[in-house]
Amino acid sequence: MHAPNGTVLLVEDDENDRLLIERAFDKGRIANPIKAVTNGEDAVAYLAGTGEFANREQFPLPVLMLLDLKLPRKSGLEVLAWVREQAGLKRLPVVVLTSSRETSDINRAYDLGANSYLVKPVGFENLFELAKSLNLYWLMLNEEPNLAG
Amino acid sequence: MNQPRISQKIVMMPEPARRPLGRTLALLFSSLLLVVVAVYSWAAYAGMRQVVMGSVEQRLAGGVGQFVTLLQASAKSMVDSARIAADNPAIAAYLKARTRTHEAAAIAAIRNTAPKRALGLTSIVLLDPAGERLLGVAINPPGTEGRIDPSELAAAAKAGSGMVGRFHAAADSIYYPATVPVREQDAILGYLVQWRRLTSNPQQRDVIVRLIGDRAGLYLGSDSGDVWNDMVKPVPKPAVDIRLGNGLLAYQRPGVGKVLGHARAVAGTSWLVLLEFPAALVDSPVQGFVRRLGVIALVVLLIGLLVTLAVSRTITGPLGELTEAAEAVAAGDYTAHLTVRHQDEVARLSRSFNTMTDRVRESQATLEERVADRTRELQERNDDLEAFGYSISHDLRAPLRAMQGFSQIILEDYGDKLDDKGRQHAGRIVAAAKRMDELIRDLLAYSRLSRANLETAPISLQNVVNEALSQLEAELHKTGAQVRVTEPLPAVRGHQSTLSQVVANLIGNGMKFVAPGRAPEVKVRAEPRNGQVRLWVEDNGIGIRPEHQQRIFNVFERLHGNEQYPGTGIGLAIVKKGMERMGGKVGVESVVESGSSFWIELPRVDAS
Repeated sequence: MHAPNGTVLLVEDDENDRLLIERAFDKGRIANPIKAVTNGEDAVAYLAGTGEFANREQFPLPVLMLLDLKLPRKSGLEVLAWVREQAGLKRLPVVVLTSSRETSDINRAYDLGANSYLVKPVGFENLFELAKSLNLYWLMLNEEPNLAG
Repeated sequence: MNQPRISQKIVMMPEPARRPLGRTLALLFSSLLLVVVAVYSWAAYAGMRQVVMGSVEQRLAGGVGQFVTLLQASAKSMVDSARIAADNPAIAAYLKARTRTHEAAAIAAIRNTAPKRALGLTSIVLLDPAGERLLGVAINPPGTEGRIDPSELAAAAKAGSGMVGRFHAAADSIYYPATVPVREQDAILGYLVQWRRLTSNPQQRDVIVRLIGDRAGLYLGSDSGDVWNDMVKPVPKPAVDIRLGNGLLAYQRPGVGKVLGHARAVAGTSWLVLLEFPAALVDSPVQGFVRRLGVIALVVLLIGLLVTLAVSRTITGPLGELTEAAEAVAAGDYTAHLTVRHQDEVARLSRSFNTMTDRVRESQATLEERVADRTRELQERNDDLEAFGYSISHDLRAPLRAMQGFSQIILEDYGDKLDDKGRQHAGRIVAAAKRMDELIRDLLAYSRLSRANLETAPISLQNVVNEALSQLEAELHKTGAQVRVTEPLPAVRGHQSTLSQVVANLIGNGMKFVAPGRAPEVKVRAEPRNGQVRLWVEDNGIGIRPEHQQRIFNVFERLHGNEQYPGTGIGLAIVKKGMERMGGKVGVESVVESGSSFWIELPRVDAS
């Protein structure tokens, strides 16, 4: 079961990066809508459906989360840890998309249950290729889990 | 956190014998004592023996002298009595005429003048000047008349009034003559001889002998060396030629053993007097003395040994303690202390030793503290560097992405609205961002190398080269480079990912630094070199001048501008640092415009 219209939650604090990723998705004609939050607390709030994100029609649960690690308020790893503890959320596919290639970051992310770890490339062409691959693999090929059951 | 101890492991030598010094001292002192005691004993023995012998000789000489005097007196009286008879004119007349009438007169004269109570007088004989018997008168038979040697007659004549002659043995008795020459003016008419038997009471003799000493022996003999008697009966002659000796003679007397004797001639006679002592009388006290000396020496020696042992212990005891304490310190135990006793040099040594040990312990503690501090500092600095690197990873690259990304967007979306120059500028922004990203990437790699603990393991050079080549795949296609690897490549001890990076950098350089328009050719081969493996990466590139060959391994060091050959100037620095961390070596040989041959060396692993 794949969701060509499933929401992708982008958790990214850097405005430039966010713009570039959204542009890359556009260019790749990826149909899935992107919802962006700019810090860890908002990410948790969105997933929990609390506060300003209570409206599930406006803010639907995502089928994929692209998670940066360096975030204000709550770090990416903390968000990841939180997600993996929530009964109705822990199966959510999480792809860490970050600048760091440090082994410690990679290992820690996988320890906490990340499904994949991608490094943000410099160079837009590369970002475009990345977006296309993401789309192909995670949104089209990959079988999604049922979050609720 | 590991606090390394600064104690060294010292290989302990096998321990020599525990106390040779004490034993040596004791032995030395005992030997000395032994020598001294021996020398003194010998001197005492020799001296004592000399004294004893001297005293014996003196006694013997004294005794002999006394007896000789007695005998001389007796001899003189005998000669005198014979003289009286000889002076009778009838004797002279007979000797001249030798007729029967004179003979009778002579005999009568002899009878008349014979001493009434003569000592052992047995007969009186008249001899002619040649010594032939002319007539004899028996006085107290039995007797004997021996032949009187002409030498004796001559001696008698020379002696003036006469002489007592040698002994003659007959049956169990000893006889001797008293010879008197009969003269008329200066001519010798003949000789009158009074023959006597040697009589003497054994008791008389014993009295005399006992005056000399117990068990002494008194003997008389003729000066010809034979016919010896003990004044009562004949005795065999002594086992030594008396005539040869002066002073003390030592010889054997059968039945008595070793004897010491002294002899003298009796003037006016042909006699010798011999007085002897059994040597045992002298030897046994001397031997007793020696035995006593021996016992004393032994006792002295024993006491000396014990005293030495005891005294040496006061030296070797503390020395042994000192040695044990020193060994303990050498093994790393700085708590070893010595108890200071007495007030001598050893005490000073012990005190200094204790102070020294305390100082060492203190300084070691200080050192360990300092090392711990330093390690902590280093660890902190390391942590700081790690945080720094992390920060670079994330924060520096984000603006780069933006720069690069949005420049690209401008080119894509608004490129047609820009003129060539505008498009060029945007392109330069993109290129600059890319370059900065490469720089950051390389710097990160370099800093990671410096920090990481590289654990080396046996790895296959083949795998490493393959990995490097796959990393360079894009470049390989773009440059059309030919890379030839001489197989097989051996196994070495190294770190897989680091070595891959090193080899990739070297091969990459080989592909990059060629003359423009030339196709790069890179050859990779391995060479064994005393237990190490040297991997050569040889290119046909532009070469490196000798004065630059060391500089190029420094960080940020470049020989060309970016327009000529792009690069960060960190590639070779990474190679050098990586090899150092793996315990290997790197170097280059190059000829300008011909090519360069870079090499790296690592320990060889004997592949099974």
